Amino acid sequence: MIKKSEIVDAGKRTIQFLFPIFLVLVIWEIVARANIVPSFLFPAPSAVFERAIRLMQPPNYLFFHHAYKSMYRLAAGFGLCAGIGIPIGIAMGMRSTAYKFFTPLLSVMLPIPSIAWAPIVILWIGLGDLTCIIVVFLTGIFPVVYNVSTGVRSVSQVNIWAAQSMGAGTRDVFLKVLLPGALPYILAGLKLSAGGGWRALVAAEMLSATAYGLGYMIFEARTFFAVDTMFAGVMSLSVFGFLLERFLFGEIENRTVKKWGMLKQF
Amino acid sequence: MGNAETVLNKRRCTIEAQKVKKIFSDGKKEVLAIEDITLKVYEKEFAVLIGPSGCGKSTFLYIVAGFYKPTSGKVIVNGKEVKKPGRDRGIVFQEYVLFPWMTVIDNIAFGLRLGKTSKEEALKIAKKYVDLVGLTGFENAFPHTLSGGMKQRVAIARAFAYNPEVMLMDEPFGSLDAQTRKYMIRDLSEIIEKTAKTTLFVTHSVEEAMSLADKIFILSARPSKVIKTVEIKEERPRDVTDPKFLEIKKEIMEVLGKEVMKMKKMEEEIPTEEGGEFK
Repeated sequence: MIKKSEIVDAGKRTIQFLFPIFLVLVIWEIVARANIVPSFLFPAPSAVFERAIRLMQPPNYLFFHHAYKSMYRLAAGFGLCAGIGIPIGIAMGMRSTAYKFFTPLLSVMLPIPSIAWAPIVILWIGLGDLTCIIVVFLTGIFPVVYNVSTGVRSVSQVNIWAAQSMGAGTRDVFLKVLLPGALPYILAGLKLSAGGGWRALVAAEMLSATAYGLGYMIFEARTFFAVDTMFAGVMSLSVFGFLLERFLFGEIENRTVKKWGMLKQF
Repeated sequence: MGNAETVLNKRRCTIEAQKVKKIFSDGKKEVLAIEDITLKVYEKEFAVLIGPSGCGKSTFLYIVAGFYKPTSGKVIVNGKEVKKPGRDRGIVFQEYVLFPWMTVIDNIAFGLRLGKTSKEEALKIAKKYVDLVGLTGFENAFPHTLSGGMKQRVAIARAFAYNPEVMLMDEPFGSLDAQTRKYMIRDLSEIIEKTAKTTLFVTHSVEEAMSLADKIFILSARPSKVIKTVEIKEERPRDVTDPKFLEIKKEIMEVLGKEVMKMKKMEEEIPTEEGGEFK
């Protein structure tokens, strides 16, 4: 099924994507090796990479412990965002009373950086997973609610009329018209939510994680002056975020809204 | 009651509009879209509503469909007053309105599935309609991959497949190019002959009206009312270039032409005011 030209195309796109990144790494390597800044403060990418590999190795597999903990917190917080945000967004999209009720609440909550809540949450429930999860939730809920509500309202009235003329009741309209019709927005909201949640999580971990987490790893390495570990941590954040966006959400989009022609393919 | 009236009453009246009036209001401004539409469409009749663009004919169709409520008057379909959209009235829109997340066959089977037909049975019937509208081989295609004409074929098949009692069509060929439109008219003529379904069809094309209609209601410029009814008894498919249609065309144009001019003038005078039609 897969044609040779498609493989060549995919290869081309990958190279196109990687080239600028590679170029920056090369320049970084040259600058670092020129020793203008002491290497323990500004390590070369090769050194960072080496450090990252070491962190991944037995007996401690330290890096994986940190990464696992961060993933777990993100997944829990993101799950809450989706589980609570999607229903609120749908309600706001469908009913003007819900829209009028939630809009002022969202408007006053939106400007508050979620990490500002962290000290209060820490006082209430202490350091640990739950505090991080709450910060992720408070960050990620907004894009979900706003996008889902916009998505539901963007579904054209004639679509609903068409379904009703075929005998669709409220439930059918909701499940078979509004939900799939709003899917491009829902996915965009979830994507932003996961991305924002991931960034906020790292900050939360620096403040409130007790033993593990990538944010904790970066922050703790400071005490040991381990700049290479810090760099390794920072770069791994990018890699994880990228994989999440590209392979989880990218794949869902390919199989749904892009296949349906609801989203332009580039 | 006269003799002719009694004869007419023997045929079942399927769609009946009584003094339908529609005023659109946005709180500040009111637009009288429909002044008074009173009409009857009998069983198995193909009725066409023709009028100048923006005269409110689509608005009237949407009232029959149950999408809009009339300001006063009422529409009765099969003896029941229309209150909301329902499965007894199939609709075909100008802009197709297919569900992009469903394949061609799933779009067509959708109405059947909502009617609790088993999946297997629904797909079987849907397949029949895929063939009827000439889309064999495109069952599993998604709508966005189809041309405008093909999309409208899917929309027509979708509306016919679940067998509603009446069919409402809102300028279904309005977005198609002239060539495609010609084929669509021919094919729809065949479907009409096969299914003999009571239909209310909205258009501003005299050619479409003459090709398809048993009865043509000519609407005035806004605020609209029925100003003339023309019956055509020729068999379908029809060749409207035939000389016998010239007389009918003249009869329609005489009335319609004036209304089109009125509407044009109205639009020039108040260019910001839009009618009730959603385009």
